[in-house]
Amino acid sequence: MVIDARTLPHNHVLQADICIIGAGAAGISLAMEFIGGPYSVLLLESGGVDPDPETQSLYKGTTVGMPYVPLDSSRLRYFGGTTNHWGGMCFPFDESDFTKRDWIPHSGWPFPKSTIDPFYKRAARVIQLPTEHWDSDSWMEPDNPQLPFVSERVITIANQQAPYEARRLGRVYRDKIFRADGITTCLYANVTELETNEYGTTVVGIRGATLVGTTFSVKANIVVLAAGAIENARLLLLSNKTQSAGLGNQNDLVGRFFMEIPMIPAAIFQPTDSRLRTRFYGVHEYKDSILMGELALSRDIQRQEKLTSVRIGLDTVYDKLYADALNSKGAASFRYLRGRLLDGDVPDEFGTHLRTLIGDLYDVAVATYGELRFGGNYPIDHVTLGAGVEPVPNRNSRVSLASDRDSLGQRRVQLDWRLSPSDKHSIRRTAQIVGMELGRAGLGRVKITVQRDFAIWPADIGVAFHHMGTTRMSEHPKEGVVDGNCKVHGVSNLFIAGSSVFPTTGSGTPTFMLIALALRLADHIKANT
Amino acid sequence: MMGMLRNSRRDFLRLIGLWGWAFVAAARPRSAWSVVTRRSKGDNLQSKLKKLLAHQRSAVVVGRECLRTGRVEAEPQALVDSIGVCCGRGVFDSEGEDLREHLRRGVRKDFEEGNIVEVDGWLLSATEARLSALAALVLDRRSLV
Repeated sequence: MVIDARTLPHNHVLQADICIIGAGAAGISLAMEFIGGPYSVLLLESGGVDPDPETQSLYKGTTVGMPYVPLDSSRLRYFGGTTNHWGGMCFPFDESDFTKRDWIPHSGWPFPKSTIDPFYKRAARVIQLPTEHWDSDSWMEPDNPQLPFVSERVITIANQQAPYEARRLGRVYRDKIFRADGITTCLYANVTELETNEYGTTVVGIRGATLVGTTFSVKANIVVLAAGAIENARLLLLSNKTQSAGLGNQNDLVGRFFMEIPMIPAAIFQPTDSRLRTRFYGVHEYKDSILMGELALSRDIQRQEKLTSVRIGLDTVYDKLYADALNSKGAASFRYLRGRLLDGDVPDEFGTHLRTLIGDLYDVAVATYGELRFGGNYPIDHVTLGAGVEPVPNRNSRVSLASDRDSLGQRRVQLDWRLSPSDKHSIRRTAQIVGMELGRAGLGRVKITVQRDFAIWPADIGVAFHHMGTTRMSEHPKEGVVDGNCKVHGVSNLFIAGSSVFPTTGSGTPTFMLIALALRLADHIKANT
Repeated sequence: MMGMLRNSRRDFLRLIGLWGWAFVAAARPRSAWSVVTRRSKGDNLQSKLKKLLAHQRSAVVVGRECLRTGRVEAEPQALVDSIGVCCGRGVFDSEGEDLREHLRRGVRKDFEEGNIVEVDGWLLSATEARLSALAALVLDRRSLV
């Protein structure tokens, strides 16, 4: 069943066994697990099935510290949440990500990888990954070989990308969820506060409001916050009636340890052989999968060098002659017309494309020559090595409440994103070791472009829109907001789903992991209620 | 630093073309390296370097930068000695393909052991850097092409 909170009577009370706040990757994956079960589930979503500016503006906030993209553009507030612009790249965390790494303060998860492995398999099905092969040896493609390093200091990671249509979890699963017995989806329902008993040990109610001015409340036995790493922290901080610092914030951890993956150009790789094949490291299809390779240091080297996990992406820049031709409008029109005509179809815009093609014959000729001569494996000018680093958890990197308020009267968020000098050191040293191994293997030479001043980051630093860590997981309440089962310490019936519980960002991709964690949480709730 | 090393990328590209092909492309006997595969008849270091280096000017430019940054020895004999430590004593007693093979091994070993010199951001093996520095010190500038 699906209802619109705006049509509910003022002060209406909704009831359910389980209330899930947020219909993004975590909330949807979790809700799906209760279909057909004995529980009544209420799935609250702030937006509708399509984006609308007024709801989206509730995500506005201020940014201090490191420059960051506007907070209302890095996440999406409607059914499906931020999966509505998810790139779909997946790779699991590895064994070492879960262990305490002595050189990384606050590292370590409360459980080993073997705990999450079965849920990765289930998560792969949620996002329709065709295979569960993650070792790069499974992807030995004859036409797109991996770089032939002569040692195992540098490894190739084979990311799998979820099929495009499978990445928008809202679109994929909304019909199933809306029709499911036992699940009520309430759209346009904004949660404003979690109410607790007088001791702050049990959530006894949820207060909500709509943008048409009505309010509602929810009574549920179990409450799961699944609103994203920034909003999860915001809602806990706003819920401060019984605990003045915010719910679950007795140790001043809520909102702290905010993590994002900073991405910067790290080096330029000049191959010895301009025909070196690097296409494995671009997004490409192989068999039924969409793959993209990246480079990383082996875990042994990370340990020896005391580095965090850095992934190096390869952006191949082809010889200018062919690059210009390939990117020309004429060549694009030629490819389009050729594809359609080979399919036996004459497109309506045939004349337009033909004119473009004729007007750009030189580029079409160069592109076609390159295709015939090189079979798509064009001569390389150089390869840009871009790095994304697992940041060291930083207590001062945080989400807090700002003084200004949104249209529901709620305090907005302030993000103070911070990185550590060791993050940049990890990038530089990783690029250096990759450069040494490329040289050792005779593949070329590398120019490091990361400056040595580790305290200063480039102004054009890139981000992945991966918000993590604001309600971190630890078995110890002084180290984490939630325990190993994602239950908020000190609150008997409040759980958190999503990447806000990550203690470290790890070497894998966050969406894949947070879906796996949500599935694990579903099993935990089923087994314990 | 970039400004100090003008045409940096071009010079490094040439150097990479030189060493890359030279040291690792043993399977490519007809590579760019083949320009210096004629058997050396001269025994002196200058003659050997000239024959070894396909792009002497680039090697000299890079070598000067290596010397300027102080990351390699500043005396020809010290450079020869250090190259000998990595590539084998008496490396410059050999010639032609033998000499190149010694140097190839030295470069690989440098990268393996982390004996690198960073010049204007470029990661060179210490042997490469020393050879470049040697070129800058030994080769007659007027003979450079």
